Order: sequence, then structure tokens, then C-alpha cells
Amino acid sequence: MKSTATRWVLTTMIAVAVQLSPANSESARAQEPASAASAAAAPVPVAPALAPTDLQTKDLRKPVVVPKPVVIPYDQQVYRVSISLGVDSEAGFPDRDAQRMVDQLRGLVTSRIGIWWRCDVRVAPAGEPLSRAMLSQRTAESWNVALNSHSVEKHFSLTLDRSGSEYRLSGVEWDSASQTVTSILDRTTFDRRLVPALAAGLVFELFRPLVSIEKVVENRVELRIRGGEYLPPDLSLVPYAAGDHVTTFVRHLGKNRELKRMQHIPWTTIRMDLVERGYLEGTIISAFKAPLAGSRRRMEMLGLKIRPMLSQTQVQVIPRGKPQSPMAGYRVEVLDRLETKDDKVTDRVTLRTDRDGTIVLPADPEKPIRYLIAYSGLAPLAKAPVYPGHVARLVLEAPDDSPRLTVEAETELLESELVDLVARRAVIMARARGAAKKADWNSVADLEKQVDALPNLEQFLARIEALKNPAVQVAKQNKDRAQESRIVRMCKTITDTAILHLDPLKVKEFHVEIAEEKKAK
Amino acid sequence: MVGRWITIWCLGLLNIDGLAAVGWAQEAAPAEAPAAEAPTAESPMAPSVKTESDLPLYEDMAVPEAAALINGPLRDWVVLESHRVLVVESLAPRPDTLTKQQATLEEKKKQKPGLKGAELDKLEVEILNLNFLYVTVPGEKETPEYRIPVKQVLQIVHHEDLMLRRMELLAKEGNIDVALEFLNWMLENVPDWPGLGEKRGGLLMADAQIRMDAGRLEDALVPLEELHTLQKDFPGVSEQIGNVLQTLALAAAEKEDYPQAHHHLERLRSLYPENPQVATISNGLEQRSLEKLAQAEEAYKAGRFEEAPALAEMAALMWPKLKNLKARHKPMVERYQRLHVGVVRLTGEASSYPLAVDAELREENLHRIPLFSLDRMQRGTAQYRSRYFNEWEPLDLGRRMRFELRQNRQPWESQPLLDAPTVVQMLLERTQPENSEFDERLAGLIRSIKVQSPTEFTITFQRVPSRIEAIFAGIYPPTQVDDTAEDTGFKIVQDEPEQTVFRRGRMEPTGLQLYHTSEVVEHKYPSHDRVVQALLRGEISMAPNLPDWHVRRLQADAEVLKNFFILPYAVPTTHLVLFHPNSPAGKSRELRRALAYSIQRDQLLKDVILRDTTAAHGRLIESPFPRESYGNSLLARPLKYDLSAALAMSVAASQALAPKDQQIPTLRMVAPPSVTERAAALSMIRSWKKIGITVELVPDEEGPQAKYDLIYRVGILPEPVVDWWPIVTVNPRANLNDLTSKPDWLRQQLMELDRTADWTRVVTQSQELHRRLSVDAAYLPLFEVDNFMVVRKNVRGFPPLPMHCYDSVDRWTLEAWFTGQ
Repeated sequence: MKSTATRWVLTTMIAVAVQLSPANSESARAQEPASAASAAAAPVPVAPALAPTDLQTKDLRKPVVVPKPVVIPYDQQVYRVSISLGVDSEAGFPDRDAQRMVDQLRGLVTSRIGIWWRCDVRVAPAGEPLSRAMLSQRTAESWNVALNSHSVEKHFSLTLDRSGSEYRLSGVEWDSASQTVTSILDRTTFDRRLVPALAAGLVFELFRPLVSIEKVVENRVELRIRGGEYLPPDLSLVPYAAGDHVTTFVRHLGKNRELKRMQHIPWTTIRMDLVERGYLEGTIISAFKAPLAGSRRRMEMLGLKIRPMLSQTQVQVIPRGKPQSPMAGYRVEVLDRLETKDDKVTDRVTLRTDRDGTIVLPADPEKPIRYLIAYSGLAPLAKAPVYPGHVARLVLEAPDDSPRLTVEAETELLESELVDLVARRAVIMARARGAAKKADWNSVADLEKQVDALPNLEQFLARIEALKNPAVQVAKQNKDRAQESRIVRMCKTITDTAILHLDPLKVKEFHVEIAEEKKAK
Repeated sequence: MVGRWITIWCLGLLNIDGLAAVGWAQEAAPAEAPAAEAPTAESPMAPSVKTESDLPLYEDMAVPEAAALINGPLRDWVVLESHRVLVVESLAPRPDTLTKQQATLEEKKKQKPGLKGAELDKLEVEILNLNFLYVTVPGEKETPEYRIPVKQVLQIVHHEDLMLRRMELLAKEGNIDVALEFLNWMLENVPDWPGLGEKRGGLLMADAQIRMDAGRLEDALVPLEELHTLQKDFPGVSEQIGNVLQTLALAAAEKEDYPQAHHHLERLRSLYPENPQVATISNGLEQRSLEKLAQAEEAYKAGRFEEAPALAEMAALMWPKLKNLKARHKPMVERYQRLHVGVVRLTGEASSYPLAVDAELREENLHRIPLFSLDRMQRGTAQYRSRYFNEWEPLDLGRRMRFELRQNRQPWESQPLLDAPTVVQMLLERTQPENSEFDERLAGLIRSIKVQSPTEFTITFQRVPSRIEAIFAGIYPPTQVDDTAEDTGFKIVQDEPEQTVFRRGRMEPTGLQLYHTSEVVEHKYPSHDRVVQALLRGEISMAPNLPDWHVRRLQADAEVLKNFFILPYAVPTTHLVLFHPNSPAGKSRELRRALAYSIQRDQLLKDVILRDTTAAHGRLIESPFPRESYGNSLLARPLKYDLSAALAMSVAASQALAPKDQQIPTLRMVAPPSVTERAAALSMIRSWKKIGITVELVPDEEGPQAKYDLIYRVGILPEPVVDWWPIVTVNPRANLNDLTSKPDWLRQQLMELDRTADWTRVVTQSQELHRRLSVDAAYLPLFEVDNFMVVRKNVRGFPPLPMHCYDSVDRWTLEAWFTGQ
């Protein structure tokens, strides 16, 4: 940690120095060719067209050399940001004050962020939210519709209204690349003079820096921060630090680099291990084996910094393909680190899903990532890492366990019948032996008949088979091999028990014993 | 005893014949005067005959002790001319042996003329023998038989005479019980013994006197009336009865026990119509009655309607023969109707039973009406009615439901008039986990509620509920919507050890033609016998839950059927034993099976619950639900009594639950605070003891918070879709946390049942649960019993098949009626 901190200080000092001459800030890594994806995402500067007069003066036979578009490395691409401040009419700020506030906000943002952002700050135009209530009505989709036509990468929508006697500033950040919007973040103050500073702070708290995933080797990744080379004048606004987490998503692009499809990688985050200005190294934390593959042609693999804005996250566990039947009452264990063969993680919090199949995970800055294991009985059904407080609600799909539960229920009942049967048989045999000692052969004959009338091994095995086959078929249809093997295992256990206790030889031996007793008397 | 006498008589005859020969043989020897050793009073049974002078004098003879007389052999005293007494074995014929012998002698003598030869000789021998009394002296081994010339015998005191003497002595000593034992012996064996009648009368009089002296006047009437029946002219008996009845009548009137006073008065009147006390007491009661009636009328006229009927009822009780009573009594008691109910337990009495049952259930039924009430069972499916909603209509294939509240109510209706915001608020409160009324099932069902108007709201469901009425049946609106609103339901206004009075919260307005029940008065009696007695005496108009043996007796009584309705409840009461999930029984299937196999359910039903060998009003069950319920599976495992299997299971359970060589820990069971159910519980506990499982009944003093392992549940479980849950968890509310200790499949199946909207699947799921839980022995089904309520025929307006004893009680009307009308 200490060395990382030292490295950060050095990096920051270098960054401050470089900021004075951004054109010369070509570090070794920055010179690495940017990926096609990064280039595509960035605004491509067009080569200055040659004036006709110049053409006339040049040799016409000489082929015109159109310089290749300069690809700005991802970590040198600045953000185009718009900030709008909506002021509620009930807030007590006349237009003139609102405009003054916006001006102050602009000054504060620009001074703190520097050239990293190309920022436009204004009073909220018509149609944009003016209060928190209005803000809460807007969804990611509505923001996408409203803002996709604007050439901004980030949009911050702030509102100012009154909550009792307090001024309440609320805001969201919309991200163009991920087409997502943050949760609403609120800040309050009694002092109206503090509103611009509070608004600036809110903007930076909402800001989720983008990263591009450059290289993936097993669970290690290399990333670049957008505009990471432009360190902000305010050092507290350095985009990433070791230990930060990033969510990932993939942008599938068309021929003209238009967005075709957006794919968020679920249950996957990247933990930053090394931060060196615009370059990052991290570790993938995922429910999947290989969730990331690095950016490719027409495919951008990006990430957004996770800023936990909520106090908790609800995780709903549902069976795959059956969202209407959430898995209620299931045991979910919460671990603060991944379980391995050597480290069994004994310190676990055990929760039970409610009727809606939901558990609630409180956000904890000390332990940002929690690992969930959903169980059915003793068998784990699903494992996933979760960043509590990042999103309000997550849905975890687990394999449908109903065929196995049916088998479990029936085998349990068969087992109970088996115990009952064995106990009854033992009692009847004991009574028969007792009667034989007293030479009460009528009773002995009657009891022998009772023993023979009890269900035998063959009948039991037939019942087990009748139970096993359909369940295995269902598991095969679902392509759930784990479940199939569990079903087979359960049936085998009960079969073994039945064979052990219902061995027909025991009944035969009993009859022989009685016959010998009779002969002896 | 008659046989014994016949035997003695025959032996006597044989002895006489035998002794005749002996007599002749001994003629040479002067043996006519037998010498006997004087018998002592202590041992009269073993004398040694020597000479007459050795015999004791009659004056010195003591009456044998009671024990010797009752238990010893019969011994008679032969008193000789010399006043000496010879104790002999019982003589025959008896009584009046000498007179009868003399009569026989005279008869023989009359036969003498005309006889000749051998016949004459034979007759002469017989005549000669009749001049002697042949006796057997007990204790003489060689020659116990003797004959005594009859002329020398002064008198014979028979054993029975001695008994009469002892009886008299005992009465004088005050030892009436032993004296009565003598009397009963004699009445049974020698009812015609001379002097028995007089002695009996004396004894009964003495008995009565002792009881009177002890202040037990009621008890004294018993021997006196018996004596009066036997012998009306027995000296002093009539006067004594008169005195006792008069005293009793006056005392009962003083204690305001007017039925008792009337009873004694009527007995006195029938015996002595001219007794001046009859008129005095009658006039006194009539006067009191008039005063009460006047007070009642005054209160009625002043508009104090709740005060008047109690006074009018008292007036009718004091003197039902009062002139114009019926006409004056009727308007007061029909304006403010009071239903008198006889019970053996009142609400608030100590009970360890954690669920609402008996008195608490009655109170709840009076106090509140749920959003939906069970109306009837139709082919095994519960049908509901609502006092609050005009209609409830599913929309969008059941995903939404529109409820329209009633805007008005009849004057007699006691439920609150709800508006949509109130109902919605009530429902929303139940969906909030922090609220004490939180209902997890409801919260999981409701997505949103929209209030359309003050009387209309629509619920949007998360998923289509299979039976929303069944879920809403557990929701009770507040009886008072706000402080300013009028009160509703029937609430306790008087809570005393002997009675609880529930009064209608919302009174009917004046000026109506017909009024309904205003008050329910529950009277506590020490036993059901007393409840029945009170019913027949007219003290109460209703007995809600009598034991079956009382019901059958009432059903067989034509007079009762003329005056009472005996109504069966719509749904039979189910008896079953449930296991607390955290108890050893809840955890061990073997233990549950051991408990189940060891109960002889049919015997329990017939002997304890019904006391009826035909079990006409009860049946064994295999499911917790009514016999025709849709939740019952034919594939469920029937429960059979099998002590051997129970023992085997008990051993298996103890191996799993108890440390080596130790027994299963003592289990604790709670049972309803009802005599019958507690008796059944104790009977089961005895059965379990036989297989080595010790169960103790939790005493009522421990209260409903007491820990328990088993619960004897009695009640109605009409709706499997919601009732499976409390059977499994022993918690009336469906709380998922209660299923933590249950296997996954059970948890999922219960959840699936809650979620399923398709009725066919609901039925399948319920039946599947029944099948699986029966194999798992998750509950111990006992029986279902048809219960009845007995209502006097002056009560009208109740449902023909009531769901509970106060079903729609606010609609009942009580016609004026009083005892002796």
C-alpha cells in the first residue's frame, strides 16, 4: 500500500508537470497505438482540407497525400460534458440568481477539472427536470432518447429545490457510452451561498470515469482511463485509485461505428491493482470463467467506475427461465472473499431469501465486494460477486431446482417408510421368536404371514426407479448435469440403504430359524 | 340372600328329621334340658353347652356389635323360662318360630282322628317332635344338635331382631350411615320383618333430624320425603317437611334465588295448601316482583332501555305468575334484547393455550367481523360472504380486483362502515414489515392499490391470487375507525367472575318496529351439567358448545325438542395434534410416528370425546381439513393404531434424540382449556407413557407464553390453500422464517401453493402436500366432531347452519320469554 501511495504521489507530480504542456505529454505507454475501438469512440479530428488555391499552386501530377486521421489515444481523449441545473420555482431563486449560480458552477468545475472536460454549464432548458421529484421520474431510456442526439459523453442533470427549510441539490449522471444513468444523489444545505460549491461537488461525486479494456490475460486486465493523461488541477479528482472497482460493458458497433448493441457484463467487476496515470492494471472478479476478451474490431470493451451511491442492494434469486417464481426461503451465504480450496472462508453471513426471493446487502466501504453463494439444501446453486450499494436491485439466475427437490422430497419419504418398515419387521420377528419359544405355532404362523406381507426390496427398488427416471430426464432436458448427478446420487443413496436393510436373505433366515425351532420342539 | 335362606330352611328340615332320630336315641338320657356353656357377649358364636345354670341371663345379654351382625353368621337367642339364653344357629321357620310350630302342632292334632296303624304312629311321632324346639348350638363339635321342650322356651330373639335393636342404638349414637346399612340389608333380605317399618321410619326421622341440626336442610328433605312417601301418617313427618320447605323457601327468597324459592314453595303448597306460610311467602314475592317491574317501567319510560330489561327479567323471575306480567314485560325486553348464554369458561381466565379458542374465540367473534367471513362449505370448498363489500370483481384475468364498499348498512348491523382510504390504509399497513400487523403473504401479493372513490378501490396483484377471500378472511377492520366515530361490534362492558356482558357498540335507533340482540350475557357455570340444568330451568337461552353426551340426551328428549333448537355447526370441529418445529417431535419423524401409532383414536373418540359407542357425531380423519375438502388426497397414508410399531419407532427416536441409555426428554403439551379436550389429552399422555415417551400437560397457570412441544389443536380449517401453512409452522401467520428448519421441498411446495393461481393446480398441490405430510407424520390427525348449539325457540334470525356460536348475532331477535310463561 505504501509503495502504491508513493507511486501515486510521483505520478501526480509528473501529471502536474505534464499538464503545463499537454501536447508533449507522450509517455511511453501513451505512444502505444490506441485500439480501433478507442479511436472509434473518440471524436476523430479531420485532417485540415487543402485550399483550392494551394492545389493550383502545387504540381497536379503529384498525387495528393491525404494524411491519415490522427488517432488520439484513449487516455488523451477529453470528455465533452454538459451540466444543466434546474431550479424549482418553489426554491426561492429568481432567474437572475439561477444564472449567477450557473456561472459560479461553471467556474468551479472548470477550475477543478481543467482541460479534462470540455464542459458546458447552463440553466436547465425546457423539458429537463427542475426538482427531485421530476428527476426521479426520468429513466435511463428517457435520458437516452433525450441526449443521444447531443454530442456529449457525459451529462449531469442537477436540480435545486427545497426540502423543508433546506436547499436540496439532486443530480444524476448520464453516460453516453454505456447508455446508463446513475442513481439520484442528494446534498442539502441551509446556506444558499454554498449551493454552487455543493453543486460542483455533486457533479464530481456523480462522475463515473470511463476506462477501455486493452488486454485480458486470464483474470488480469490492462486498461486505460479516458483522458487519464490529463490530470485535473484538483488532485482529489484523480479518477482512479488502487482498490477501485469498475463495471464492464461491450459496445457492438456497425460498419459506420454506430452503436448496434449494448451488452453489460453481469456479475463482473474489475478491481484496480495498479494505477499509473492513464494506465491501469486490474483483476477480474466475476461469476463466469472468462467474461472478458478485450476490445476487438467493431467491439468496444469499456468500463465505468463503480461509485456506490446507495446504502444497500437487493438481490433477487430466481430460477432460470422462471422469473415469476422467485426462489423463496433459500439459503444465501455472503462471503467477503472468494472461497478457494485452501481458504474455506469460515466467516460467512447466512441469509434467507424472502418471499420475493430477495436478500438485502448493505453497502460497506471496508468490504466493497461481497461474494454470494445461493444454496439448495447443501448443494450450491449459484455463486456471484456483488458490489452492494452500486445498484438498487440485481437479479441472480440460478438453475431451476424443482426436479431435484421433487426427488429429495420423495426419497425423504421413502427413507421414512423404510425406517418404519424395518422397525415393524424387527418387532414382528421378535414377537414371532417369542411365540416360537412358547410353542404358540398359530401366532407364529400369523406373524410369519405379516412379515411376508410387508413391502419387499423389489417393490422399493421399483419405486425408486419410477422416481429417478423422469427426474433425470427433466434434468437432461434442462442440460443441467450437476442436477442430474445430484438426482442420481440421491437415488443411489436410498437404493443402497434399501438393499442394506431389506435384504431378502434376512427374511429367509428368519423363516429357517422359525422352522428349526419348530422342528426342535 | 333369598337363596341362602332357602338353603338354611332346607337344612333345617333335614336337621329336624335327623334330630328326630337323635331325640329318640337320646330319650334314655336326660338331654331335654341341654346344658350349655354360658356364651359371652364378645363371642356368642362359640359356646360350650354344659348346664342351664351356666347359660347367661337374658338381662345380661348385650346386643352384638354391628360388624358381627352384618358380617357374621345368623345367630338367634332362645330365651328359656329361667330367663337363661341359649345362642343357637338361625332357626326356621322365622320369624315367630314358636307360634308357627304351635300352629303346625294344632293342625297335626286335628288330623289324628280317623287314622290308624302306621299312619297314626307316624303322626304321633310328628306331634311329639313338635313339642320340642330343635336347635344347633354353634361351637359344639360332638353333639351340637339339641332339642328343647317348647314349653320351656319363653321367647326367641332372632338375628334380625338383634339387628333392629342395634339399628336403634346406632341411630341414638348418631351413627346414621351404619344404621342405614342395616336398614338396607334388611330391606333387601327380609323386607317384611315385623317391626322393620316402624324402625325404618324412626331411622329416617333421626337421619333428617341430624341433617337439620347440621343446617343441611335440602339434604334433610330427602329422608323426610322418603318417609312421607312410605308412611304419610308417620308421626311428625308432615310437620317437619313443612318446616324445612318453609325455611328453604324463605332462605332462597332472601338470597334472591327465586327459582329455588318457587320450587320449595310449590312443594310446600302441594303438601299443605292451607299452610299460612304459603300465602305469606307468595305475597312477599309478588310484592317484590311488582316493585321491580315498576322500576323497570320507570327506566323504560325514561329511555334507559339498557336498564329496564334486567329489572323486568328479575320481576319475571321473582313471581312469574304476576298478573299482566307478560304484557308489561314484553316491550322492555324486546326493545333491548339480552341473550343469556351458559358457558363453563369466561374470557380472560388463565390458559396455557396459545391460540384463540373457547371463550377467547367467542369474544373475538362478538368483537370483530373480518373483511370476509366463511359462509358455507360447498362440495368441500369454502364460500365466503362479506359485510363490507357490495361486490368484488376480478379484472384483467384476475391480475387486478375492484372492490366496491357498501355505502350504508342496516340499523342492526354492528360492523363499522368503512371507506376506501381506511381499507387501503389497513391493507398497506399489513404490507409494511415494520408494522406489527405485517402479513408477509399479503405483502408478497399486492403490487399496488388505487383508490378510485371513497367507496371503490382496485388492487393490482403481483400475481393472480387463487383465493383472495381466504387471505382477507384473516383481516379484521378496526372496530372504531377513529375517535369520533361510533363504536362497533360487541364489547365487554362488565367482566365479573361469574358473568361477562358484551354490549353492542352501535345501538339501534329508536322508533324501529323490530329490534335485535343488544347484549350477550355469558354466565359461568361450574360444569356442563349445570349449563344444561340452567338451560332447562330457563336461566339461559343458549348453550354454545355442549359435550356430545349432553347433546344426544337433549336430542332424545321430546320435551327439549319442543322448546329448543339443537343446531349443528356448518363445519365439524377438527381435532389434531401438531408438533412445534423446534421441539424434539418437530425434528424427529420417528418420534412423531411413535406418538401417532400409539393412539387408539377410535377408542379416544368413543370413550372420551363423545362417550358414545356408535360415535354418531364423530369420525376419524386422515387430514386436518373437513372430510370433503378439496385438499384431501386419497393417496395419503392412513394412520393405524399399532403399539408394536409405536414401540419400535420410540426406540428409533430415542436412539436419535437422547444420549445413550437415556430416555427421550419429557415433552410438554398444551391443550384447550376445555374439560373434554383435556381429558383426551391426558388419555393420549397415558398411551404415550406405555411406549416410554413422557409427556406432561402444561398447566394453565403458565399462561399462553409457556413453551410447548405438542399442541392439541381444535378448530375449523376450511381452506387448505392458506391453512397448510399454520399446520406446518404452528403459527397462524404465514411467515417464511418459520420454515427455516423445514426441508427445502416443503418450503418450496408451500410457496408454490401460495403462488399458484390456477385452481386445478391449487387442488393438486394441496393434495400432494397432504400425501407427503401424511407420510412425514407432520401432524397427528385425530377426529372431526359435529358440534351443536342449543338455542331456545324464542331466539330467531340465526343462520340454519351457523359457522360459530355467534354467527350474525347482531341479526338475531329474542322474543319475550320467561320461566313459567
